[in-house]
Amino acid sequence: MKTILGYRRSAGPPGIRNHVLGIHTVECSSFVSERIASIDSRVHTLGFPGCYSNAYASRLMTALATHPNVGAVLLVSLGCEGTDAGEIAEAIRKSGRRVEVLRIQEAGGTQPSIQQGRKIVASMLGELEQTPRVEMSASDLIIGTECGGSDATSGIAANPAVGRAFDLLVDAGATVIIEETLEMLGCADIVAARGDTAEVSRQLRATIEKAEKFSLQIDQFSIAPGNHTGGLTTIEEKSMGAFAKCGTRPIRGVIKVAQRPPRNGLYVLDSVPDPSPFLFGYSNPNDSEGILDLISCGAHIVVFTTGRGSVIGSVISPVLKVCGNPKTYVRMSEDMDVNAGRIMAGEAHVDDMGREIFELIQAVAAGRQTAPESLGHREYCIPYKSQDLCVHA
Amino acid sequence: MKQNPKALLIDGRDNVAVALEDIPAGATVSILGPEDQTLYAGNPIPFAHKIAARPIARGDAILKYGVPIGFATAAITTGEWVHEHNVKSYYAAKREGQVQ
Repeated sequence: MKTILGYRRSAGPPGIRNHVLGIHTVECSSFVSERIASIDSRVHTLGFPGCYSNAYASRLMTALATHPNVGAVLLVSLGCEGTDAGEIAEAIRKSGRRVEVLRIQEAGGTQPSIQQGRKIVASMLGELEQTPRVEMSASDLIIGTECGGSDATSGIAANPAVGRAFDLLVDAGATVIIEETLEMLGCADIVAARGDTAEVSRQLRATIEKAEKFSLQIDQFSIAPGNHTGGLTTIEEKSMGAFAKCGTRPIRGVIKVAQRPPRNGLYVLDSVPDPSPFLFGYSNPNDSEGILDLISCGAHIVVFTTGRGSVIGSVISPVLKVCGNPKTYVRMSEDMDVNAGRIMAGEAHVDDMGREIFELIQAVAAGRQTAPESLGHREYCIPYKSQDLCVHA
Repeated sequence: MKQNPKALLIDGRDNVAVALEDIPAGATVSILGPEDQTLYAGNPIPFAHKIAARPIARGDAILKYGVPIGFATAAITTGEWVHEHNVKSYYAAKREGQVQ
């Protein structure tokens, strides 16, 4: 591994970026929070739009606020919403980070709140410039993977190439996370066989079964008739095309949203809602939600594969784009980091591309900006959801 | 001279390769993988569809990504098109009570 100089945190692993995070605890405070953040590009913002609090969303925001890439946090509250900004602030303070709460009703409305918030953020940015740098090793790195805007090339070129990179990361001592348990339907035997222990295999089966039940409940499945015309014969084949992103190493465990992997190696993230009398919409409202879930588990970088093309990035952690379709790459090259379409053209083998992605991940960890990062992308999505931290059997 | 059409063996353990372009019947196909191999396409193989890289007996697993993605419902010869007409999903078969 190359030398990576990270940002030291008083608790937890070092970060590869050093952001101030603005969080609005209800949609009503989003405008003020975004106006505060507009003074400096190192200030990222996210928030939860709901007025009624949601335990999942509060836990997710707390995990994001204490992410290694975040150095200080400003919570922007209207003052009467259900989400308790004070409680979230207390949890963030325990991580050793500076955190402030700005309540718009107390501050006197829009302009005074923006002025006050900008002052706080400016002083936080000044403090962050003094953050001690620390040499990071592979074992400090957490890398996630997600796909979106997929086409036939995703399962042939982009996903297997990322899988090779993930094998190299695991062998170097890093932690890697794959999400998308809904994409593992039909593969329970294959995925469970990858469990490190009998207990992990049991958890994997239970997690895939939960995803299957949820799919039946909401009548959404990931295989479409068009997949067969496109050359996919079985649901196992389609699922494995997505699962190939995580490589071939043993699976160490199942984690839930906002849960850090307990040690290094490969983990499966279950972001599917738990069984609950309240069924909040969809499991995967969009790609940004999946990316944010990975980041809530501590991912320093998310490797995103696409075929038809995607332009999204993320708050907090860089998104590294791997494009499997050579035509899309030419058309949208500004949005892409890696042209895995070279595999489709017979110009590069999967192993070569895997090595290239592995090298690029290290360069990004050392400070190089990804395509979505340099374009200024900051997407995120925090929906209402019912999920706790247990693996439901 | 025009190059042979190509197909990719994603994992060294696989017995099927994926067509990287539309392959006409009878074409000599270059299989890209850990070892170079050429074979004759027994049928037209559309882009992204599968071609058998080895003979596969009826009931044997179809291996892609190094794992079984289904089983052969008929004997498949090298170079043959591998799709719904000669492959069945283990998952679907299990649900329909055909195995176990």
